[in-house]
Amino acid sequence: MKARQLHYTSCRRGRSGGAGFQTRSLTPGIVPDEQREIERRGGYLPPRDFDPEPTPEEIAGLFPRALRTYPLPSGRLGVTLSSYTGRDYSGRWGNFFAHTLVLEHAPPGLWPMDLFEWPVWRKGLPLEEDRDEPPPDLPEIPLDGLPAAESFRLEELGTFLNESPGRVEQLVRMSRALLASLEDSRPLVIRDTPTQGLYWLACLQRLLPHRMAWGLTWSTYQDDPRGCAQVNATVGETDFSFTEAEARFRFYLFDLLCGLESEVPSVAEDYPALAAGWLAQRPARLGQLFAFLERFDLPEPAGYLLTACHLLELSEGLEGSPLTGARLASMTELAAARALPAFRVPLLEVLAREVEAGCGELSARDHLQLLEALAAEPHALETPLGAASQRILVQMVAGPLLQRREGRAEILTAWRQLAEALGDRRRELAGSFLGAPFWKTLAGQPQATLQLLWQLTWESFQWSGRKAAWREPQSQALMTALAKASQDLAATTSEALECLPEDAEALARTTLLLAVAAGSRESPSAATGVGRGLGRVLGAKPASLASAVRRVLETEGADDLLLAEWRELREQAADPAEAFLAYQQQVLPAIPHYAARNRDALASDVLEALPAERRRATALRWLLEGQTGGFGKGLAERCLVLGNEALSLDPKKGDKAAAERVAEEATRLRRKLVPDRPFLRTVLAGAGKGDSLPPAADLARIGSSVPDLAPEEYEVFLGAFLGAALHRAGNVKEHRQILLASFRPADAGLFTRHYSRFLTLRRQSPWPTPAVAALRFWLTFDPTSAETAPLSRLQEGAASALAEALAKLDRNGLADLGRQFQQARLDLGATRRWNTLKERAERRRNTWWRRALGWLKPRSGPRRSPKKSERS
Amino acid sequence: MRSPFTRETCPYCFETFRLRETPFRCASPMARCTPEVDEVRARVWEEKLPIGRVLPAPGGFKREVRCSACSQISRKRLCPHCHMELPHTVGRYRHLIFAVIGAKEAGKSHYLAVLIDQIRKHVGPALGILLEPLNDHTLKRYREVFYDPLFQRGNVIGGTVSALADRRVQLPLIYSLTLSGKGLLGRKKIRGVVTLVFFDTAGEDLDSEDTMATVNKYIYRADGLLLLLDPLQLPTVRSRLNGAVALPTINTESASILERTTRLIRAGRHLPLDRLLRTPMAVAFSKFDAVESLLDAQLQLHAASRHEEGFDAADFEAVQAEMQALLTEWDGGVIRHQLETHYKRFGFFGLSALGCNPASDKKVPRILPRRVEDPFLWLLHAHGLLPARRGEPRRFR
Repeated sequence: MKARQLHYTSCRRGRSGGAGFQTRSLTPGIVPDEQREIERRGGYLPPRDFDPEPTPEEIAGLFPRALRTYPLPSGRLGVTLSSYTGRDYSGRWGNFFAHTLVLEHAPPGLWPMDLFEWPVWRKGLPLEEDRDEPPPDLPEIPLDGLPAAESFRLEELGTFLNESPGRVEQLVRMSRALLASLEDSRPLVIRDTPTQGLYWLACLQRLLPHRMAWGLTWSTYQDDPRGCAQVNATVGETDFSFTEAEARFRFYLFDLLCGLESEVPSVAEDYPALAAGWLAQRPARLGQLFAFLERFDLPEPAGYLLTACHLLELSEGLEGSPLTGARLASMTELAAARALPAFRVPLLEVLAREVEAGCGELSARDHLQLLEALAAEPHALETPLGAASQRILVQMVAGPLLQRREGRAEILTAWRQLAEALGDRRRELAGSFLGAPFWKTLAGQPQATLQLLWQLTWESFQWSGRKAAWREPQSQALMTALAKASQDLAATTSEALECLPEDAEALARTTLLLAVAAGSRESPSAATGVGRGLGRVLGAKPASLASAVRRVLETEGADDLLLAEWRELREQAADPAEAFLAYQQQVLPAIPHYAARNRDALASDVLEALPAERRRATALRWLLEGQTGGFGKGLAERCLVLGNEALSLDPKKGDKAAAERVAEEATRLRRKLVPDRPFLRTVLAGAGKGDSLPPAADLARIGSSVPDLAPEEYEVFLGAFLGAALHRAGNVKEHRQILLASFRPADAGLFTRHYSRFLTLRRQSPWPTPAVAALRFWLTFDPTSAETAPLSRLQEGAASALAEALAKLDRNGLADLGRQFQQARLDLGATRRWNTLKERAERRRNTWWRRALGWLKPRSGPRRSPKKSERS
Repeated sequence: MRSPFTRETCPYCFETFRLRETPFRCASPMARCTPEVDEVRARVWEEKLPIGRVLPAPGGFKREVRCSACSQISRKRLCPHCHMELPHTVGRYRHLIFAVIGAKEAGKSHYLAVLIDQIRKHVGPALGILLEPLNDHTLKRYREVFYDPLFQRGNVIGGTVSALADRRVQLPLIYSLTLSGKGLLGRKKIRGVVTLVFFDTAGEDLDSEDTMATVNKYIYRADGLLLLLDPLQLPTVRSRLNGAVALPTINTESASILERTTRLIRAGRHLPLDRLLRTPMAVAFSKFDAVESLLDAQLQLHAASRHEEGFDAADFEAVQAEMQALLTEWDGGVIRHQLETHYKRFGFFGLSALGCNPASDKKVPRILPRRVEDPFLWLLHAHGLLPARRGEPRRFR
């Protein structure tokens, strides 16, 4: 390797063509950007407290030399040795000579301080060379074979550290500060004697790997805080003020002369402590570590140094501190992501061995990281590492999952990744899993854990070719534990079935297994829960698969499960009636035996689920469709009652066929309908037709049905029947029969309203026979009679209506009516009632309103002559 | 208070900005408000050390901002371009940038060291001028780089390192200049306050126009230039002295520096070639004590200037005439011609910062400065800050 050179000093003649501070000469090939950076880095001002006019001997012996290493814009490395030279050509003080080597890359095997004693350095410009002639270009310097600085060999540094007590601890603090400075941009500054400053820097460098040491900037003497290196030594008074504020916030200061030191956070175990101990006691160990680090690609090695130490110890089989999760994670990350390909698998093997040995309390996440790393190396899984990874996974289940009850997601992730990485060899993983010893310890595990295990178990059976998994003891153990752990059997069942493939036998047998485990034979609720879970799953499956599953269950006689499944379907459906219809059409034909056994239960279930209105309509529909013929007597009667309720009394509404069907069914079942709506519809339909009254038997049927009508139905009935019937009543008896048949005391007000309408109706003839019959009925009404006593609640209303009707008669008409009653020879009570009625009618007639209306009537008198226009 | 919309010039990066655009820096002690790396400052000044946090520009007329982290009020304005802390006088008082330029070994650092000392101790009290450093950096740098080596240790000041190698050289010395006097009723009053920004330049940084444009941008932003000429660099003088004085190495010609400076100002200010430069240019022969043997004893140059009551314009004109004649005599006519062609205002001066030629061991036994304040006072006079003595013309040329 060769290095280009550059000399910078104050001289008579340099590259600028004049005198003064300048690049005196350089090796061609150093580009201007590099030259600018080198000039910037080469500056030197001696400490202010040093003799301003030193002798050459003092300069050589006392003044520090600044060896600086730094990267150049071109990517090359600059190494500058700046030395104070005292006077310049003009005799003025303050001159220095900066000799820079431009290296293509860091010299192998040499740390920056190893260059300090290189013989190639020029430390000044002899007077005889400082001429007015342009200086020649500098040649390239061959560097191969140049020795490392003897003073800074590892053994020498160990000696330096052990010379004085506390130096190792001091180095630890400095090293911690150095690592911290990489994060927070606070440069490290050490003030000590010039010689010891060199040693501190050499020690710090040797704690770092070769590449990392060369990646930092170093200065063995720095006077200017601006643009200082990342690690600096200094002496005496410079522009570093060494104040408390600087020590706390701007730099990591270690002023070993005055005792000022920045605080550096310390931890129980870190790389600086470990490495400084090695440097002081076992320097060779550092060499081994750095050789070990060669197995990795670490652009920023600072964060991995301690981990590398741990991994080195593990790989050498040394016993260190217990393997914690954090440590395993960092080692796994280092081995998997940073190791060179050739070293990755052996390092992972070391870690797998350690984890398998069960060292430390490792979490599922810790295991997962290692397994992910293993899964990322498929070819490694063909080695014994594959079996190890399977064992680690089983260990992950047995430890974190079953003992500490954590890490379900991690186990599933690890399972998936490992299975994918194993490919065809996942049968081995299944075998490891199914052969694990934890199957007898499932009791008391959380449901989620058991579900996960069921999922893995089923996949394992599949991979290992054992189709009838439900017969395997692992399945039975899992289902038993699952049933015991379940708080919601339906949810448990659906979750357990969700992870199965679309295989009818598997789904049905697993359902049966779970039902048995849940005690469905003893507890109907257990069967209901399992069946509902099955319903949730089958609802999302293809119809053919669902049918196949049901057939298996039908064969096994699991009607309770199927019924519960149906209930789940019905609850999930928007319209239970439609769902039942579909169920009847699509499902039940496939399972005829079950359908036959459970037809009534299914229909009753639907009726129960429906709201009242829909329930009646559905029952009426079943009646119309003749389905009730297949029902048991109880259900058929219930449908009859509901169908009767669904009928409308209004004959104009087209329920004729339905009414006939209800009546027919009632006949078939020999069941009396209450109220008998088909009959009432017939009565109402014929109410306005013919002149005769309904027969007495019909009136009796009407009287027996009326009390059970709903109020609105009763109003409909009164509106259609009462007036029409009363118009056909030609005598008091008939009038009474109609009233007794149609009146119900609970709705006396409603009845009074309809009855008053009949009494006060404006007629062609003022008082026809039906009206006279009504008047005579009420004049002769006996409230004490048992037959007519219920009608006494109508008496007042009827009297009022009659008075109003009488008030419409003029005096002559009223007198005629009175004469009729005299001829009929009314008894004394009736006569008194008649007189009372007449008085009430008179009072009504004499209201101011009636008088006003009478005044407006046309009167007799002289005619007015027509107007002229009227005449034409 | 100047308007927040007026454009100001940063004395560090020489970019212009408006006051309302300036962010602030938290003024809390670092223990109270955690510092952080200022990315702008790291980029421009390569200073990646944690420093007080930057508070965004509030805009408008606000002269202070409250830190959102520590609630401390800060009045530390930052240049929006380079995030250096601006003098607190920015936006309140006029500021003038004076640059001392000259070839290597022309005595720029010595001149600046002595000038500041002279103004503070002698000229200032006489004229009612108070020169005070505006920040710690100025105080420290003047003391460590200029004052201590020269006045305390009696050494010559070391060569100034190129600003390319040491960014510290690019940081100016910033002073406030307070002009006091008496009002109409005879009462004491402050007549004005000006911020003065001095730049000391390494001679080698003036050897290349590219370097000048990179690290000496202040030249074309300067309100006054002081070009120091070393008479010992003139061939005629060197031959006439004939070994009587130790001669320095021959350096860059002053005429070349003046040419580059003129080009830089024209380019930086976008001035066409047919327009005179308005920047006052003071051209001073330094180390005049070394050439005393070549001078007529009757010259006004030998007399001490009298600026106690104001700028001594009569003396200036006499010295101006003598210096022009000497320049012509010493084959420096080209410099005079350059100035007359390009500059609207210029003056010639002769001075000696040390009053003696340092011995071969570069020791300065006694410092006897002569006429070092003349160019500086002329620049103040040119800017209307220092009136001429009573009875003398207020302005010239």
